[in-house]
Amino acid sequence: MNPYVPLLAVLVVAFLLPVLLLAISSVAGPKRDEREKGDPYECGVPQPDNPHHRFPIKYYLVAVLFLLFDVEAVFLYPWAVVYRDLGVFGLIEMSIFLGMLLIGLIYIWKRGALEWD
Amino acid sequence: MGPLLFWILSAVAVGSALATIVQRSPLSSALTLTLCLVAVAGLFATLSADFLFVIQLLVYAGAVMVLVIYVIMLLNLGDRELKPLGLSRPRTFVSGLVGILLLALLARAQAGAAGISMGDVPDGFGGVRSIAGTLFTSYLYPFEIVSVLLMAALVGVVVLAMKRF
Repeated sequence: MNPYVPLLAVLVVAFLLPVLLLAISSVAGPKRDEREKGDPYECGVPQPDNPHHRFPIKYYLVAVLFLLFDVEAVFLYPWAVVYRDLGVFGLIEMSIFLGMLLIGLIYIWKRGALEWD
Repeated sequence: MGPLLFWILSAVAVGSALATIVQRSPLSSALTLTLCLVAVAGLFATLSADFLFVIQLLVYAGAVMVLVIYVIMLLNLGDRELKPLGLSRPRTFVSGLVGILLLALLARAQAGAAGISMGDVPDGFGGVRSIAGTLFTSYLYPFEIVSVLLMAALVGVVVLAMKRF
């Protein structure tokens, strides 16, 4: 059997379940249209102004750092699959790879890029 | 099962790609683009390119889309900045021309590949094991250089984002 069949089954269930739940609630649930229901609120306090503020650039920093270390982790995955075949050689080459990124991590740490303030 | 899956996934990919470009809200575009990337990952899976399937999901549908959504959040475009989607005359002309040329190119490639047999691929071709086997032996140097590239990107983003203006 194709190994992707269980994955496909999960996808189908994950798609059908929310569709079904939304359909049931829209059919069976009560509907009362009130203006206040659509208003955004925070802890019950009426919203003082428009939430379209500019966000600090730090969010972007977090996103890019996540992306870079995610790409690093992607290389660990095939390496882990053939780890036993490569032996010590594989360990050394991955150590060089990770060591390089460790230098980068120390750099961003020292620069304070991981601090929020 | 194979051809049916191909048609379903292709339809989802093309449909969501269209939805990505015709929608006005950037966040809806980002969500449909994610769907498109997932459908393409599914196409990779049907071609038994297991490694590409995983990478497509992890890196593109995961990490790159996070970046795209962060950029949408940072720009935070309101109703005033978002212009209604409209096609001016030169834009329609240029995009139509590019579309026709691309279609002609694809048709030519299809015609050229008609008589060629794909040949038998070795067992496990495109799998994680076979890709890892060549990546960590024959292509060791490019692999190590990737770490330098990643570090350069780390330094670059810190320098750009933490600059004091």
